[in-house]
Amino acid sequence: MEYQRPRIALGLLMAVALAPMAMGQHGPRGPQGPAGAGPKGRAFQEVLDRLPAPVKLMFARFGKQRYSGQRVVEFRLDGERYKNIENLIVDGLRSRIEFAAGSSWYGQVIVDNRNRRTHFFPDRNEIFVGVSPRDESIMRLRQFLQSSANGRLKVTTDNGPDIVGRKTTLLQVADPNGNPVQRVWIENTTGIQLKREIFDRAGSKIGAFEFTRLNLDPKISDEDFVINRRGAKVVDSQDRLRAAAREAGITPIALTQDSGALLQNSRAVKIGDRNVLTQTYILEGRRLTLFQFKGNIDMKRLARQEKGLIKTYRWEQGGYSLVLVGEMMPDRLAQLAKFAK
Amino acid sequence: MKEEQNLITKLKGEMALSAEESTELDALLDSSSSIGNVIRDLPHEEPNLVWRSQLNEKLSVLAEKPKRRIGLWKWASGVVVVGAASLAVWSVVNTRTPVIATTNTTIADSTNFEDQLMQSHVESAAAMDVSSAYALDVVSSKETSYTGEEEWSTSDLESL
Amino acid sequence: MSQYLGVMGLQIPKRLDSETEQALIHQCRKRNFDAFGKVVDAYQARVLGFVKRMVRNPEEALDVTQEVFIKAFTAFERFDGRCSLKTWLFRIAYNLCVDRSRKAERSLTEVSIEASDPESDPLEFADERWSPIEMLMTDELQLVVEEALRTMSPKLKTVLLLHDAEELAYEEIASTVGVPVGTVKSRLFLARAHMKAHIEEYRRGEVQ
Repeated sequence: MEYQRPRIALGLLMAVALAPMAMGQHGPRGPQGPAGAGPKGRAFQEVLDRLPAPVKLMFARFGKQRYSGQRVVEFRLDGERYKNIENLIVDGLRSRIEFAAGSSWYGQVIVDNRNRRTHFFPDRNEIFVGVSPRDESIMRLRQFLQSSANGRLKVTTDNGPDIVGRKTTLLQVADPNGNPVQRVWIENTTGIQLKREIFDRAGSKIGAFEFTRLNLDPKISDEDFVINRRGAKVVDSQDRLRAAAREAGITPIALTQDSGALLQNSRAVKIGDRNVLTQTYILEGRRLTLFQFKGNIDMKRLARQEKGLIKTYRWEQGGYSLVLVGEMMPDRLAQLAKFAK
Repeated sequence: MKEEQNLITKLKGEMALSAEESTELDALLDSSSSIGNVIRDLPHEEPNLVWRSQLNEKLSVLAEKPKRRIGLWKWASGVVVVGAASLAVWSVVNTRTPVIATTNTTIADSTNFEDQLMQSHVESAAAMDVSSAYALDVVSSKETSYTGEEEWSTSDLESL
Repeated sequence: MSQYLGVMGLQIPKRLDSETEQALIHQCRKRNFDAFGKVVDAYQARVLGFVKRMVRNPEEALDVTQEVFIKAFTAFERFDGRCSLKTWLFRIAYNLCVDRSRKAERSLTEVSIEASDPESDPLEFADERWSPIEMLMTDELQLVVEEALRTMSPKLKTVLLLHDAEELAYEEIASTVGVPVGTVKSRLFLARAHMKAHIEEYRRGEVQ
């Protein structure tokens, strides 16, 4: 089954082009969002309407499901590969994840309690307190469906294999040449994502998870969503930013809260021979990365790396080069850059 | 204005230009470089993996054609097979050993700086899409990682 | 319970620096399959991008792109290094596109630049609205640019793509296409003018 609309009428494109500021700012908070509020919302809804019930369930039930289970998660980051075995309990917007033996993050615990996240790190007896992620991962899928409306991506579905004994539907997003971008295996009766794979432009799998156990009727209590560790040091995203900046030897420049962007993590990364302070933000369901470093950058080369929805904006401030990368229009990135302090 | 139209007529007719006109054309090309940027920014799509696999098949046939040093080829094949097997074993062993990263990670300098910035963004977004955790900055520390001495006493797993 | 199979860690194609490229060229001349694979990794997307815009049918573009690399592989011994590897590959690609076009006994649709009214198509670029930020590619703009390329004559399109997309020098394009450098410049200017006129229409919302 393939749902790819022919190239969009240019007249419609003109209408979109006349309101460039609206692009990248619609940011509905719910996973389905105001489907009728604008061409993109309509495009999403039109594509969704033609997809089978499990896909609709996935969007409709996101943040409302109740289950426990175990899943294996693998991803690549900054040249390293991670593998975790997560034991998780999900109750709507509340969740608890424990990282089992054999995990890169063995012993850590994450509890999301609606808007508040606590993340315990046993090796340093530290609890990170921040804002819970909301619907970013499902928002990405929503964006893909929108993009399929203008032919930039292809969305197909098929019957998937049984996973943890449950029937699944495979939702595949691919580029126009058929190279997979993401694959999601959705449990047919609940809309739970049982397996997901994410690919980069080169076709390499850069992130994946798959459930190995699932219980749709778990015993859950309020205590599951509490972490009490006596003597643990409590830190927040600003503490982590300062620590990462110290490690990188960089005076940090960050997006202020007025920008609306929420800082999620900060890392000191060595790229080539340069120390780079990397900050990841969430804004309107999209992920943004702010890179800060000394020295110049080849903008032509950087621009060539802009693929699909990902755009960049570069400026200089405080003797540093800053590059903001995200799935937003360049003028929106430029606006955000004004909030860098 | 008339001179400009004359120049344009000449350009369309691909006629020879005078020295002054050539200079003017160079200036016009300089001033139109922003259009060039639009073309430069056009995306390039990778051919799909099936296409590549077909190409590889065709190339491998061509690669073998002129080489008929059977003895050496057999020996080399043996080495390749043994090497591949070793690599496969190594990969499996390596896969089973989770990576514990230090906070200040070094990204191998195998591509240029700009490519790596973009790759870093793509990877961290993917990591957060699949991993539940976004505090990727504190995945571990340079200190000794957790050894499991303090097991959690909660009975979460009973519900599985 | 299903078993989770880890399949991470595939290699990403890398951009070639000149030192690596020289080493690969050396190996490719000996018809080294692996070395040539790296050349394909580095250039397949760009060559396909060029070919796709030169021929009409996407399937044909994929075939031609394969042919480019097969020809390059078999002819590598004759690659003398007087031009860059990239220029050489694009030269092969250009020649194959022209061959295809001739063999099919059809010429690519051509909307002559002469068809536009010089008064309404002022060929003027000193316009501050064309700032770099304005020029950043959006999805919609990309479609308009592709449409403009489709309606552009092959001779203008070739020069525009080779110069602006692939950054080949005037001299390299001249030797590839077989025309003087001055003609390359003229065609480049006319191609940009055609593109600009099309984008202007888009900006005014006039393209239907």
